[in-house]
Amino acid sequence: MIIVFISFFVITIIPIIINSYNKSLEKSLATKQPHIIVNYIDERREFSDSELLKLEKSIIEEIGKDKITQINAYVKTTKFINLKSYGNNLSEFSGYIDVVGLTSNHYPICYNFESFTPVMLDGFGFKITGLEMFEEFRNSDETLFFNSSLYHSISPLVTYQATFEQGYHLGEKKISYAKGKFLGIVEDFYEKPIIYMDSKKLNKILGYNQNHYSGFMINIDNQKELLEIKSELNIFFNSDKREVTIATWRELNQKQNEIFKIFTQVGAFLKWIILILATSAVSIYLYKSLLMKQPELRLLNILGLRLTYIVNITIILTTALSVSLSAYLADRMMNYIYSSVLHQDFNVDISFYLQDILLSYTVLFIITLSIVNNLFKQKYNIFK
Amino acid sequence: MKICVEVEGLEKSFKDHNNKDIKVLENLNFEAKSGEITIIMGPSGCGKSTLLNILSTIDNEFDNGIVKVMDEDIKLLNESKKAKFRNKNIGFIFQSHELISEFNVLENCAIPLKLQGINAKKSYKEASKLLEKFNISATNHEKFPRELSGGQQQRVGIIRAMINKPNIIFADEPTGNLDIKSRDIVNKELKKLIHPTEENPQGIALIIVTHDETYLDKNYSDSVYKFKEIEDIENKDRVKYQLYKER
Repeated sequence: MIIVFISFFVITIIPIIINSYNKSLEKSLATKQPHIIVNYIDERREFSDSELLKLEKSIIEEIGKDKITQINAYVKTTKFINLKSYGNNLSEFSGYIDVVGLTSNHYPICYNFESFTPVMLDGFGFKITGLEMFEEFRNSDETLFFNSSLYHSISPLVTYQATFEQGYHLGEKKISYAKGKFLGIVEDFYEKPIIYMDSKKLNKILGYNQNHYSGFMINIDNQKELLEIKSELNIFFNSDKREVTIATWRELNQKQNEIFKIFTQVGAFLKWIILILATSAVSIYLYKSLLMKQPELRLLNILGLRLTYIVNITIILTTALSVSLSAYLADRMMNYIYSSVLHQDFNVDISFYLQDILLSYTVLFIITLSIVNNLFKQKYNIFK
Repeated sequence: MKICVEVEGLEKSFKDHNNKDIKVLENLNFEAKSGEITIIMGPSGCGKSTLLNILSTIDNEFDNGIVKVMDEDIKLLNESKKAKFRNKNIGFIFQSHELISEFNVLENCAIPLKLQGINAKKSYKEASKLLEKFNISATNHEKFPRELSGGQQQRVGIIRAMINKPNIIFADEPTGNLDIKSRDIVNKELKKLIHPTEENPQGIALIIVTHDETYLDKNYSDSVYKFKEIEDIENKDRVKYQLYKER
């Protein structure tokens, strides 16, 4: 009996926890802080420290403090790089890569770590993930974090090895987490990987004595206001006479967004297929375990089997099912509410959630029914 | 002889398609004693099965009367207690054997013991002993019911009915599906069942519900009850039956 309940727990509760963890992680990470990138049309032109400081003030005054979360200057370069990793789920890359230096404590720009409140950390179990390690080592200077490992792995890898084949600044050098040093983050989720690192370090690598910036990123609080803020920035820079390009993160990653949408649609289609198959399986199980066995149940009851036993087991399992399902739904709702409150465009579609709910309910129902069926066998087919 | 089953003034009715009460059993009195064979006879539709269900505690939903089985008022038993009571006191032999097709012979015989919580090894040992006694050889023990002859299947059914050493055995048309040769064998085995044993010095009360008039032989049965047709004053279109004690 204990084994049955442990199995039930393992089969149902753990996937729910893993799933909710995975989803929340994916949602939190994949959903980037909406931002707008501003740089000079003439790529050779760069912003200086003092210029940026003035611009930051003016933009905040113009757009409004409540709409902008951060303005981060960045410096960008392209290097030929050969990244090798060991362990599971790590990406490898060989070729030219954008290296982006960001003002201290704000890299990587895409991850707004400050928004991970302790509640969220607890609720979604970040404490056991690589993110915590990242936080711990974010001020180190020799560790590369592969973003994909954070996206796709339940237990993100802790050790990476990377070699810069070209780049006089580092030469052939192994960089590993174990050394406890952090260089930057490899954003390899997109087609073209980007290394984010501290702008001062990159400036040093590039041989500048003073800090130079290729442009700056304006982090927006609300995704829905992105285009509105972009047009306000256009007006601002037109009057300012600076010849700059202004691009939203959506525009910069349009292709990736399209791919993401296709994946979502294919995923939804597959889910419906699974749902139909699962529903069929439920019907077969129901037929086999209960309806088809009715004469045997009746006979065994006549011979002395107490049906209350089966009723009790069903009640216990149904309760367990309800509790786990409620926990799952609560988690999904929290995600939904969280995304709504933050006004972020999560590609949230309620039908997507309904599919999830139906699918998980069906799967849980099959599991419960099969356990009930096995218990039936244990008691009714008492010798099997 | 101890009275095992005692019925006084039993009444049971069903609702017909017009939601009108139809009395199936009316003012019915009955008793069966240990160590005796009691026969209940009657044509189809007379209420034999209804009575059998009540006497064997499968059904305790009746309108009036007192039904005591082993001195227990069955009306007072809930579903769980009824199941336990049946397992302890009652054995069943069915016309169509009602063996579970997924179980082999040994497993079918041992069901009542397993339901009592006795372990498989002990249950099989007991079942094997009885199977040998009923001339079902060890080679047949692992076979499934469909691999046995009708007579053998019924003997397995009898073993299942007696393995838990019940005080009462109900047999519903026990030889209805058998040929003459098998019928004789089974009837002899049934006759042997009622004999007092060390575990049950009073002997078993065997209640046979049947159409078969051969059971009426005085050398075979001790008491005979018959459902006889009577006039239904309320509804003359309907045939009504009343149980009478013939012997």
